[in-house]
Amino acid sequence: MPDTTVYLLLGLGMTGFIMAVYLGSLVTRWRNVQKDLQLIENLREE
Amino acid sequence: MSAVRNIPAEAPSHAASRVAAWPPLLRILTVATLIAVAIGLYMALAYAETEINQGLVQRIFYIHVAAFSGAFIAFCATVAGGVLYLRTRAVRWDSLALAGAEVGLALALINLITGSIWARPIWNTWWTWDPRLTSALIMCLTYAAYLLLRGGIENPEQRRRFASVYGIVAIVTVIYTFMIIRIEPRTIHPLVIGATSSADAEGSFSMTDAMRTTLGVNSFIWSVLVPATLIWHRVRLQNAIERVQALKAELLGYDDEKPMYKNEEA
Repeated sequence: MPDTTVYLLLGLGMTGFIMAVYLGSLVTRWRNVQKDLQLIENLREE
Repeated sequence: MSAVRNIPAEAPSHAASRVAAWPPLLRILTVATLIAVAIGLYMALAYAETEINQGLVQRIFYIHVAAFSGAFIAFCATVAGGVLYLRTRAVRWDSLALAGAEVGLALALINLITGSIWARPIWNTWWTWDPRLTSALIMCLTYAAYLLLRGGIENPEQRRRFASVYGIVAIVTVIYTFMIIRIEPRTIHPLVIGATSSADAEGSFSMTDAMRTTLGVNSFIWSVLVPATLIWHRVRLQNAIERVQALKAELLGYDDEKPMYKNEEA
């Protein structure tokens, strides 16, 4: 049986990396939108 | 908006905290998805037998195939969102279409990259211009272009209409990618489920019951739970973005649905 462990780990690593980047982008965008929303709400109240 | 950004942030307002709270069903779905992904991973790495000719790298197929199923479902959501937006002009359907394209692209990239990694020890190359690989790449580029072109249209109504039509037409690349290994005799890409039309397929393997179960479980997780959870989160984000844009428009005194610049009317 050939030893292809490193390719399995690479594949799993890349899957985790892509998901982490996408989830990270969702969180970052969400935080930015919340910040914008807060600022606009504050501006409207003034 | 520079004036808005210069104002110091204070405690979250009612509106902001209302938008931030996760609905209970989304919380349950998110936790269930995380647990399911962990179970799927355990099955792929420990439950299924190791394929004797390919070694451990064959286990990547449980994610590779399942990620394509997930991308397919997400891109179908883009079509549904596009059709419903064109019929009703309700912004929420455009949000669904956008979420489907973004999530689908992430899953399609997982499919493409894990496939390339599997190919290195099995085909002895990272990449070859095989019909299946080429069509999968074209599919990814088509949806990347969808996101880029969307961002380039300022007029919201025009952008949504264009994106709806594009999203509907783009599904052709997904169907073509799905069908190509079933109809194209020159491909070397193996067909895991069903009989391949190609005699040149390299890297095929027969599956035991445990391997079939693992593939089925992972396909369900990655084509139902993962896209549903991610799309829901992305739609919520888009709703918040739409709300911010509407508030900005209201604050600055222009109609959000009308062009901001004269040349957009041309």
